[in-house]
Amino acid sequence: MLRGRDSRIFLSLPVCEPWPNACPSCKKFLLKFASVALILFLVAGARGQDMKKLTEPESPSVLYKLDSSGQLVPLESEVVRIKRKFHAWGFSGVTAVYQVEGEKSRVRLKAEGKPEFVVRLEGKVDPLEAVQFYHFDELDGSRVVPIVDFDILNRMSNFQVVHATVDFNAEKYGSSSFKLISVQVLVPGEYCLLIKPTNKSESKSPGFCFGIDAAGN
Amino acid sequence: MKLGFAALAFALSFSTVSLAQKEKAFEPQYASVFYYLRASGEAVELERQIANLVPKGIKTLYVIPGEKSPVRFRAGVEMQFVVRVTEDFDIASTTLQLYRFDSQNGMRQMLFKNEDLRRNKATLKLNAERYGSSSLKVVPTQKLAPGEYCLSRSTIAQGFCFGVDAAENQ
Repeated sequence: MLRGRDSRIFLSLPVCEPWPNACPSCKKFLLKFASVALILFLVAGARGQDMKKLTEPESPSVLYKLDSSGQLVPLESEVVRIKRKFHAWGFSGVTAVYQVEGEKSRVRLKAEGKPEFVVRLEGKVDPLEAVQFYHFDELDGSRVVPIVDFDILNRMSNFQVVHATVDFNAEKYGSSSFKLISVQVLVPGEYCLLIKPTNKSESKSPGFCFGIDAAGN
Repeated sequence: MKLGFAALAFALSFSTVSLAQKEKAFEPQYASVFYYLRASGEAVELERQIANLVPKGIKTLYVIPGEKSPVRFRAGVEMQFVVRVTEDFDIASTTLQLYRFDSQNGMRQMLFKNEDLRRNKATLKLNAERYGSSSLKVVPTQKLAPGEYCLSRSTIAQGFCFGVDAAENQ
């Protein structure tokens, strides 16, 4: 290793006095070292921001609200059942509904734009296919979404579920999760995100519910 | 100091290359959202809709409000679209759909047999190829005649709609 005033080898470590008393070549070396360190620090910082560790749910198919600090807030976990509501004992037809017990969710969010949710999904699943998002009506101590009407001959007569569907976008979040963002601002009311059952004949699905209160409340 | 400048130049060129790579091609941010891709590589948002379904016996009527899409393209041009997918490309490409709607009574409507919709037989033909890291480039196999169209996937409820106008209307 070379050292001394005229050392021109960049990577050698000259024995230098502290800064004010350092010789010109030592000062040059220290400036070079500081400039390279600064550049590396800036580059590493920029890359580190890109790769910031995100908090992901531990369990798959469980939805959380993502708060503004990046923390996952649990939603009300419910079983959403498909029930039949008979009109005039069935003489005027039947409406199939999604139903959740309880008129209001105990998880309350403020009306503040477009809330974000996070879900871990196993496999290469499209979140727009795996998750359904509905605005529920409060009815007789429960929350319901009408899905489809059947006439007296049990023929489908009207799909209602479209009117209660909340459209959302989904983007990758962390290694195996997705962030879901509603497309529209959510108005006050009751909402549930459903995990679509893999078995189509299943009459219940896991639901993750919350209520939106008007900003003043 | 020369070496210091050399290191700085290296670091700057490294970050410039990284940025250039990021700007190389547009790739949608969200899964299953279709964009029109101009020849210049610029992406155009399509009209997002969820169709209302009206059962008609063994058929279903798909209804979208508004007689015409606010998003318009010119006929006679080869159109290409891009969509980010989360599934394997070969699986995702079998779910792609392009439907032509009829404009009627202030709405866009499409009537199809339930069986054809289930088997994804009602769609206009599309070619799909890998695009970017996680997307598909979708190209109709034939030039689209003037009319109203929506792109979708058999797995989702959303449609991404646009209209094609005769060339002289532009």
